Amino acid sequence: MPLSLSTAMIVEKNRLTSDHNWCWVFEVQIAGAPGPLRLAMFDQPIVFHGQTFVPAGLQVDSLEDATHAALVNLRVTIQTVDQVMMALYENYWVTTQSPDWRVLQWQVDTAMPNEMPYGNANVYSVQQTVTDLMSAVVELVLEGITLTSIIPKQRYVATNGFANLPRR
Amino acid sequence: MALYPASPVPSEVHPPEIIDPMIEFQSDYGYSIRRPRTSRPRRRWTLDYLGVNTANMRVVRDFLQEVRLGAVDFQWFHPTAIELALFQPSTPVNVLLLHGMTTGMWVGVSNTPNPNINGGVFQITRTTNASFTLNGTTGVGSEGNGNVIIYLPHATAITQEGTLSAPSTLIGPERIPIAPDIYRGIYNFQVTIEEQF
Repeated sequence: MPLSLSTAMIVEKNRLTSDHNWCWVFEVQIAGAPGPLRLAMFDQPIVFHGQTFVPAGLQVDSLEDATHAALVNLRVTIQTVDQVMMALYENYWVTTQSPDWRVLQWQVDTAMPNEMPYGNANVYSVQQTVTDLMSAVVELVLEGITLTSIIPKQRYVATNGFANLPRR
Repeated sequence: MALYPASPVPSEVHPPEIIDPMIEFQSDYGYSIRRPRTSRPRRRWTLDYLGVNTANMRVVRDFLQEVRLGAVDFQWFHPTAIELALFQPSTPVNVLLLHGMTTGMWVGVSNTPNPNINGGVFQITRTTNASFTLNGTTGVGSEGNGNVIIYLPHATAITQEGTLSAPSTLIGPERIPIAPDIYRGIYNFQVTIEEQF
């Protein structure tokens, strides 16, 4: 499903200058964990479709939106590994043979976050994560057609403006 | 959370510097696309302490050591700028003051006709440059004057590379004065305080 923006978001996106903040919010879904972790790359909590995304020290280091068939890779640095993150690592990453962590990511306008539909997430899977117990680096790869999966689990790709022309 | 010492009162609190970083993309064709990076601006105050005796200098220094020169945040009330504003009994309470603040900043309120808000601290919503409302308040009583002071629920001390520079010594040595030498130990120093989200 191509990413569809509402009229209000398109107007806001096309403004050269604006006082609206645009930021990324993440939902980390971990197989077996009691509930998703909702994080916002912002200085205030963001209520997005009724769920509160809490401010978190995150930094996106590398965004590779390849033009060929390669999948998008994203490297997110978690600047503080707190007890919540540590517990998740201990219980659902290092002690699990094949951990299944999925990350949903949206770009929202903080003045009107619900203009971004919940179903328009970019869906990533966590490929690798390393931590020195102070900070952590998470390598994400966009879900899609891979060698082990023929049918896309969820579509995620931003539109190129031509709805019937597949991008990848 | 620790509260910045109300005494000694600084000799001068300079108007704040405003910190508001933005995301900017400069195009090759001469225009730029700009967005703010944070939800609102933050402020940074410089407090001048002039001619402070050893005891008072130690009060401030002790506090800054307790908050580990900026690692730990603290609460701060503006120590000198006590504003007189008109409070209107609307819900939420409307305050008429040429305030220079933005939505999300905090104020302390006292001596108003509304007993429910006196002594409280409130996050504000800016309505115009000369008025704001106090979030979560209910209008009671009549319109009347009251005091407003700037309040920071989260502030940190700013030092250069984690070093608190030594106060300028006007008169030494650094000890609590012993009579009849009551003028021993007089210092000038500055403290920089930065608002945090």
